[in-house]
Amino acid sequence: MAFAFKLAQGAIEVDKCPFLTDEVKRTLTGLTAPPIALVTIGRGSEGVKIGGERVSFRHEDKFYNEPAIAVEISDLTDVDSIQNILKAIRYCEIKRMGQTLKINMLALRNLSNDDDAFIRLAETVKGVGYPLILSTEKPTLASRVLDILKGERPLLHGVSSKNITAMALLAKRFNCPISVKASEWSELLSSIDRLRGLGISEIVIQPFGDTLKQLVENLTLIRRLAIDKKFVKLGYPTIVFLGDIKSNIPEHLVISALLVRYASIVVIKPETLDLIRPPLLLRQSIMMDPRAPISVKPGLYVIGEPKDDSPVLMTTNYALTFHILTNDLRNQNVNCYLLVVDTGGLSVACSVAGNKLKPESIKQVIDETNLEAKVGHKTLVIPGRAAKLAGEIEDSTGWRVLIGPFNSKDIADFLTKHHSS
Amino acid sequence: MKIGATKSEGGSRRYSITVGGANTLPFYTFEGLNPPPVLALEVYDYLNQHPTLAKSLSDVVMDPVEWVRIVDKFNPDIINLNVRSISPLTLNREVKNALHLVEDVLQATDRPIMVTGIMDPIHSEDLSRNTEFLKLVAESFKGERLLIGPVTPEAYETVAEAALINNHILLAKTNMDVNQAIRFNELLSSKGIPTDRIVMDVTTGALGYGVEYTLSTMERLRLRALQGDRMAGSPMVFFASENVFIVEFKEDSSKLPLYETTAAVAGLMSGADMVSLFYVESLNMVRSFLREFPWGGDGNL
Repeated sequence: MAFAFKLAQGAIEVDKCPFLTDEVKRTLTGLTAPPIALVTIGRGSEGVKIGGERVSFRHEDKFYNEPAIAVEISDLTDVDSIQNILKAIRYCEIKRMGQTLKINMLALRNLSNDDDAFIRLAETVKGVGYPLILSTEKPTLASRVLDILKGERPLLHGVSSKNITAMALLAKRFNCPISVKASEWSELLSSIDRLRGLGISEIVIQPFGDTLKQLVENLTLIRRLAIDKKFVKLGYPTIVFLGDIKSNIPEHLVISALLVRYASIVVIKPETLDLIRPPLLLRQSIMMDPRAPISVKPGLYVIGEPKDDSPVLMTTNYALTFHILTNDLRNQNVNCYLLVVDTGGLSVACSVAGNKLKPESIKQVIDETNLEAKVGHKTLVIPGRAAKLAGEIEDSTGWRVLIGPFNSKDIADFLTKHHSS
Repeated sequence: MKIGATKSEGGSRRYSITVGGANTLPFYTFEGLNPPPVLALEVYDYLNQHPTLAKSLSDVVMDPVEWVRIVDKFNPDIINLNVRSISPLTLNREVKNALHLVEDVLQATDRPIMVTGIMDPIHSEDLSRNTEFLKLVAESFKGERLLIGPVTPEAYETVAEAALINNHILLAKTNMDVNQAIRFNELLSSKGIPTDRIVMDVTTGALGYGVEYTLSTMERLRLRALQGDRMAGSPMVFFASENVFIVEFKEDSSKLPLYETTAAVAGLMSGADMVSLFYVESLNMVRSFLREFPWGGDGNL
């Protein structure tokens, strides 16, 4: 029964049950598969998963796989420039809240008429650690490159009704995902039909449109039809190349719109890396699971170099709270001990309102970390929003409670004024 | 709804700006065309000297009227005057004194105006200062149809009444919770404030600092409103300016408009009818984004 529930929610795979026949497994897999197919580009632990989505609005569940951002490199690019691009890509990585925000893939574009140039490009970036998109309209050239990239499962791009048969056969032979484009709906749908008919399941749709308005419309239609109308033929992740869009607006705004409106892969030019940080943060934000906020390990944290008369602060184990507070403490040069209490990952406000901030948990951390031996005082600074628990916390811990500011940006001021060292 | 009253309506504004009026989900242009969102530029009467402040503004920060004259030239739909000085935590300015500033601003520009007190009340007196100030603003500038706030479920009655009698619009602020926002509209409604005299603010959080809560709350409110829930049907404002005060982003002040506008686009796509911005550069970028799309209503961008 429990297994059946989990299966229905998509929380477990049907293969995990040893008692079902293959036929039943196939039926159940079909019924519980996400309406937007899961496609993996690359392989193994470095592979990038896109699609696998079940909802159009994150509050209905969550978004399962973050939209991938790829940087395109054309075969007209010289070797030095390629290395500079790779350096710039690595420079954009941001580590925050226990996650690494980064560029996910490289898109290799065959823009020259020189087949060897495209092959050299593939050889240069092979094994560099990024799953690849192979963008060429020439099946024979694609075939040669796929030979070189043995087993790496790049996404085949450049596929349209003109070359679909040859490209589809390559996709099957090399077991790669394949993206398909068209100039209007019926051509797109019949191309997708062809691929499905050939038994290809890892398809990526490149919506047509050379204006942002058209792309937003088409991305919206594809997602809503797949999810709400169960239109299976459009149940695939999507890819957009910024270079294809005719517009005069700054690229980071285009990326922002595409990230929140159903693009599964956004391909940018290397110059756009300058503008990529805000979109990386936006992406991290929308990927948060509304039902399971990220949390940090509860316990005692040392900020700076506290002495035995340094303040002792307390907060909850919601990753964002922890991140904001520790950043403010460090930026304001505060040396202190920080008690992080387990509230199941809820923020201070939420955990106080929902009775999840337990004074006993504070006592527990104090005892388990032997804090009373580390500091020569027993004054605990609690967040302003936890003020109403002050009395209970004092009773439970035997410490004196100081009610701190509401906002951690005021913490240094507060400690100077109210916490005698 | 309209913000700002022209001479024929009893005010002194050159034009009124229409806010809201959406009848379809944001950017579902294949389904229908909504009126274009409205853009506000912010002016503060107090800011900590901030290393990230754009050089062009750091000279005028201490002179909000001059600041207003500058942003006016860049053609925002609305000017958002933040009178933070009335908090004991900032300049502890007397409310009557602050009122002169509002008067001066109304002289310095003939655009529709949003007047806000303390948007982030922290000091215990902040709420009562807001109430005192906003009531006075409502009474003193009767007929101008200002957007005033914030009012919150903890402190709204006095200001709501003053806004109703003096014909202003209320900025109703709740904490990123759909049900709280709807309940607050119900509370205001029971005091005689119709939903078309309210602009909802559910913003709290910049990129990487919880903006997703705001985006989802706005999407949910808009979905409910379009499904017929009248209490969810007030226009929504999104304060993209939250992003310019984040220390983590302070790499180089010339990049802050990128953060602000990235958030602004996400807010617009979640249904924001009004976006409030700090940087003039941001205004131009967001306008160029909006021009990519067709709009209904009066259609003028």
